[in-house]
Amino acid sequence: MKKHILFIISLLVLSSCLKLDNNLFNTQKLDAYQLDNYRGEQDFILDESYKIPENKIMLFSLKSQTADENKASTIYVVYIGDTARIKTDTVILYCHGNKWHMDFYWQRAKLLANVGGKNHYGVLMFDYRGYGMSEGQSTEASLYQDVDVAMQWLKAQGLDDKRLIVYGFSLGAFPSVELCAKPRNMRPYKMILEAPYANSTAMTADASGIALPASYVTKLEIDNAAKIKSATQDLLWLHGADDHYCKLETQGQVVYDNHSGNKEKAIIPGADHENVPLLFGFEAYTTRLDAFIKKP
Amino acid sequence: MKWWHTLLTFLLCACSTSRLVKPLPEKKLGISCNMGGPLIKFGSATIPIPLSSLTAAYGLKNHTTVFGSLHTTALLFGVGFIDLGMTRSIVKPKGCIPGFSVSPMINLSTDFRKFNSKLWPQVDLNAYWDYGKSKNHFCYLGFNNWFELARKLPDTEQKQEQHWFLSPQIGNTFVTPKWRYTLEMKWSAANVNSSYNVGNYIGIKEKGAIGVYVSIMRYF
Repeated sequence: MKKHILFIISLLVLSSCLKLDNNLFNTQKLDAYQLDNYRGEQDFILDESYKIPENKIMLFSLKSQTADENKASTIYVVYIGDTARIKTDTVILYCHGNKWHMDFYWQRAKLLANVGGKNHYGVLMFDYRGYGMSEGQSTEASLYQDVDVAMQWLKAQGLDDKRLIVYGFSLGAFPSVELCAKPRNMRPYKMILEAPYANSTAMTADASGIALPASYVTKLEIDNAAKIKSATQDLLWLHGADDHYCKLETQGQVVYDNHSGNKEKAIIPGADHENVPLLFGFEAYTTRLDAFIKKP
Repeated sequence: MKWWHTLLTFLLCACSTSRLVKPLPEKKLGISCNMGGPLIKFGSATIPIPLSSLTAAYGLKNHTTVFGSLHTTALLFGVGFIDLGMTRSIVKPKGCIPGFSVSPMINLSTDFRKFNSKLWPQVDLNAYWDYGKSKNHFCYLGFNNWFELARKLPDTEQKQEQHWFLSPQIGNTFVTPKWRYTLEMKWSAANVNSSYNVGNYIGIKEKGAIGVYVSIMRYF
């Protein structure tokens, strides 16, 4: 009997490494990107007027490797615009959310490519490790590295800091804030955050209702609310007033309040987590973004 | 981010059966295994989250039983979580007048990585009715009160809004000379808006989460 009890206890203790971290990355593998031909679930589908000419879409891959990795992973990237004009264009670097792959977010990227007029700004979007065709598995460190690799590529094409706008949606707000607060190869000029989470503690609290330490369920140290205090870039915050995933008051509002620089916000009545651009109205959304980017 | 919301409730004690509604006989030891959790929509099916705990209880007097529990699902996540308490009968059942019991307890937890520790007080109040040919059944109705004492979220300046979690419960226990079998339904955190929680819980009017629990106790 004693042996059995010891065995069960040992088993439980040895198994006690279960965490929810990997579930943060809701990946889906792809063999090829479909972009406009993608027929899977999407948050919204734009009409023909937003279509991007094929010669303005460049799909390619980059190598990404964190300091403690032995081997680089290939990540896939799409650039919307004329790469030859990156030397002079302003570019929006879009860090997508935690779901699936770039096909799912293609409509959002296209919408950004219509801010200020068709292909007025360049847009760069990429899949984090494990998403779509990108290799490997995402971690907190790899998220930051993947974004930095994208910035390095933009810099190599001639982009300077003053023409880099970083846009983070949901999960994408974590690397966006990190690289604004602690710049690596480029220092973004402005940041746009759509439905940003405050930190793992607030996420845990929203889910459980109680003041549960985040360390009970995760090893992640993700913390937009703290890091944004060090970010001096102008901020535009977008959030759905009825966001059921990322509560406006306990998540986005905290991030916004902690930012001490120039900031503005757009709270969209009736919008949930996935439909801020849709309920904002595509024209109003693109106009607002354009005004924010152009604001001196 | 759905994962976060769906799986978190494994830590909530409100997500287990009432430890003891009716005290054990004096000097009786009982060991129980408890399973169940809030109902969630899982694909096309509705299932309870499979939370588990083990409880040991000892009858100090006929009217007072002390108990302690280990939350085994939490342990799998590297969180040591126990509850300690007592159940005291405050009114004995007589005819159609139910018996009443109160169970004050504390919930203690710590994670084995950062050793962040927490304490939550809890009080269960239950009314129970003996029935059956030899009074070998009792049904009960009561509510669990869970208290969050923290004013702020851990390591942040963010405010903790909710401090009281009320969970009404209804259940039935079948008692044999060696065993107790309990089936319980609980409306966890019935006073809390769960519409902003995407765990696909089955609540009532966007409040709390309905859960189903079973407990099997062996006497020694």
